[in-house]
Amino acid sequence: MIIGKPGLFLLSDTKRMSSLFANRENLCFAAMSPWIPRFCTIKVSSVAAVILLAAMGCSDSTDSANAPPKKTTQSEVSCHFVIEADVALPERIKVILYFKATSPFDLRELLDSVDMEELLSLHLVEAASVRVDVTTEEKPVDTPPIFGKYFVEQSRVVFTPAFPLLAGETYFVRFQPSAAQRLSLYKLEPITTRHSVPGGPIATRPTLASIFPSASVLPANHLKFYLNFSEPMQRGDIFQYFSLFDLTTSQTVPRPFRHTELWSNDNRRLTLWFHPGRQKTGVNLNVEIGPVLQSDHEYRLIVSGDWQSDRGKELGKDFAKKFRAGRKDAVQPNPKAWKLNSPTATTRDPLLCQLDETLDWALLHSGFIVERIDGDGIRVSGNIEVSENETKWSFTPDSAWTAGKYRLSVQNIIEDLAGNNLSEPFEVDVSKRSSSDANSTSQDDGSTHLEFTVLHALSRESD
Amino acid sequence: MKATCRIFAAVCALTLVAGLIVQEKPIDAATKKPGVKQYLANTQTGNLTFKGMGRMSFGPDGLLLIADASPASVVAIDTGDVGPAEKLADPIRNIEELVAKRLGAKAGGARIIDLAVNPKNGRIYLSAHRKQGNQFALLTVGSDGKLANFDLESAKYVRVPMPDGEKSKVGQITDVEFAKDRVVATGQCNEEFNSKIFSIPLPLTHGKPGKIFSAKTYHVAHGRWETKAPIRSFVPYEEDGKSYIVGAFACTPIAKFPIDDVQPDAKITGTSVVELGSGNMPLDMFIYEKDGVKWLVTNTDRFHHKRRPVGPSQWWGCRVRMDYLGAKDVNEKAVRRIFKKRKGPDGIEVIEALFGAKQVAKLSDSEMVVLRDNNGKLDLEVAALP
Repeated sequence: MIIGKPGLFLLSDTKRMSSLFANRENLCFAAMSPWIPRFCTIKVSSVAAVILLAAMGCSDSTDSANAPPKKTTQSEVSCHFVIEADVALPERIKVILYFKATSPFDLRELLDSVDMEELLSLHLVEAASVRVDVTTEEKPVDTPPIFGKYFVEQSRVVFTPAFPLLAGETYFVRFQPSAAQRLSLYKLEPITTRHSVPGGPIATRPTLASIFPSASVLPANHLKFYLNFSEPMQRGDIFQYFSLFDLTTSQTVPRPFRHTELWSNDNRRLTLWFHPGRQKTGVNLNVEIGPVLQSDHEYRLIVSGDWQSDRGKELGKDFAKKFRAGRKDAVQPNPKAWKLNSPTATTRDPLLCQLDETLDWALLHSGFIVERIDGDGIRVSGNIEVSENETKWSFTPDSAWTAGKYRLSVQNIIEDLAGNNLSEPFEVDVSKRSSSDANSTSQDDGSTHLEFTVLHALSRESD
Repeated sequence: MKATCRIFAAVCALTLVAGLIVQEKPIDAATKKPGVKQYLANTQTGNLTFKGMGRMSFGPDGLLLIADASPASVVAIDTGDVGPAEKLADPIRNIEELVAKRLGAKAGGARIIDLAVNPKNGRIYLSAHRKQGNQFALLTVGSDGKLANFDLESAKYVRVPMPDGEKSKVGQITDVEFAKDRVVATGQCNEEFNSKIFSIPLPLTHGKPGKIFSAKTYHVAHGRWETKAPIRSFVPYEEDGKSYIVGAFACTPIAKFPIDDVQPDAKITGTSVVELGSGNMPLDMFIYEKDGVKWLVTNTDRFHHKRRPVGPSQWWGCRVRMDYLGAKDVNEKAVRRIFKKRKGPDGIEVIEALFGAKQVAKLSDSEMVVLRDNNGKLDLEVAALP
């Protein structure tokens, strides 16, 4: 890569370039073909950096630059590539194939009904797809072209790849005039050139920033983990990167996970579930193969370092969470056992809620709402923190408390680690359900309310 | 153990608990628009992007439904693809690698998410994902096997968001289908153990959740343990003028429930109709008719294939005569496929053409399109239906 003026970067196949410089308006370079030096000038766009290069003969692997002028009855035509890329997004490029003719020339008419992918194409270079011939020129071998859009004007064809190129990779651009029968009159030669996309800034590795639940003892019927990553991770076929190892038996647990990818909108948080068919009592997999976890066994949940982020960078090392399986938990959380403090008015002291057991980390952030219930009854905005293995919930208001009556509204979808929520346990034994219950509808849209009062410090002292 | 398993697995039920009920409003005949336009309102043009392209299926007149995960929504595209027949002539070997390279990635750098076949002309559509950069693409396959990139930048579409307040965030739409007078979608939640069914009335209106009703699905094992259970795939069908859905959980029998009769706060119990055998995860479903008999076709991923294989691959498929779905009451003893035979009981048959089938879609009443595992690589081909 060669830097031109500020905001411009210039890429080239340096093997072919002998020099390159920029002035205020024009980018000039001397291009050295293997046989004949060429010199050309390209107008520099103020928006896009003109990268390129393999212009004219310098890119012609078949020695078209060295060929004698073509004698035709109509016109003499030559063509060359220019590759443009956005300064900020070098993965976004345009390939422009310019035609130059000595007499009027209607390119659109000549290319009518032509398969443009045959005429002008871009290919990813992979080691296995490149061969080296006697002229030491590399050529793509049977590599299918990349999707893109074509735009034909009177003197040029513009190709825009449908997807951004991959940073750090090299691509071939290929012009095959034989794809257009009407171009045969001009006896144009094929042109190929290479284009390398810069690798981007020094790549830091993604990391698995946190795993929840954070406790080291989980119920034997535990359901799910939250994996928070430092950057968006690659979706698709992800379950090959997870394993569960039983440290007590020294064996890998077979197929422990539910193969459903559940991501946050930003691709940074994955909800990883144990297979519910194995964790549910009486379901056939539970019966035939058994549950994923055995009480009192120790386990290691492993996330492979081979997994890549969206930008193609591996985690680099395995991440692991060690835990022990405790007893099954079939009991619903009990808000009546939770302990709530009463913050003091005019302060931003946190509202603290001590829970009776570890609850679902994500739901503790989305399922608790603080509301004022006297006066205007509005929702209080603030910041939620969860600590002590997700048994302590705290809320710091954005503004100081004002004296009055409030409530902590807890949605009944709040679950413990085994999926028991405030409405119902994860598994309901219908044989014990009363006839009146049998036709009832469990509601997941209800809430449980815990009221508290905010007092002035003086009032509190007088109490 | 086996006897116990049979007993355990025989009794399963799907319970639908209606949350918010909506009376579906039929399209007014007087204002009915021709073709695909009658199904769409506030149609947008251009700049269609996906953050989590997923399952897809076709409705009538080239209407393509695609699930998007972020945010959870159903996108309906007017493909305009109502042209002549485009049935794939020859198999495409190792198509996933071809897709990867055409998306600008190396082999293994992209995957096929789903396939759908346009019933209008038999053209195959693929949803695909390039892993690096999280790029999604909608591809079409011509009769000559040539892939083309469907231009989403100029597509005509509507996007219908799923209700997603502070509760029950839907992390993935597991299936979406056109069902005569509505679009039905199933979703799984990201945080709490829950799943949803969404019924979206026509016309689909861009940007407007509209009169969507959602419901929870339940599963009962051994007639005793009731738990929530996500539906992974389903197919709509009609019987005696009523609309039903045949659904499959992640690892349980095939069950059906009516979608016409949902009433406010009603509890609807579906019926388990067929047990394919434990450890099977039905993937795709469709219905076809031959010689006056209707069949349900499904392919499945066998959890413990090596332990008790059905065929040479963990992916296999079968057909079930539709009259098995006629059960009227909760089925305490759902019909079980005879696991050690290719056929049986009468009307339940393993389809050898579905060995290795990771995905399947109906092409006609005599053929299907199969995306088949071939020693770790995927082949796309047309196969005959029995």
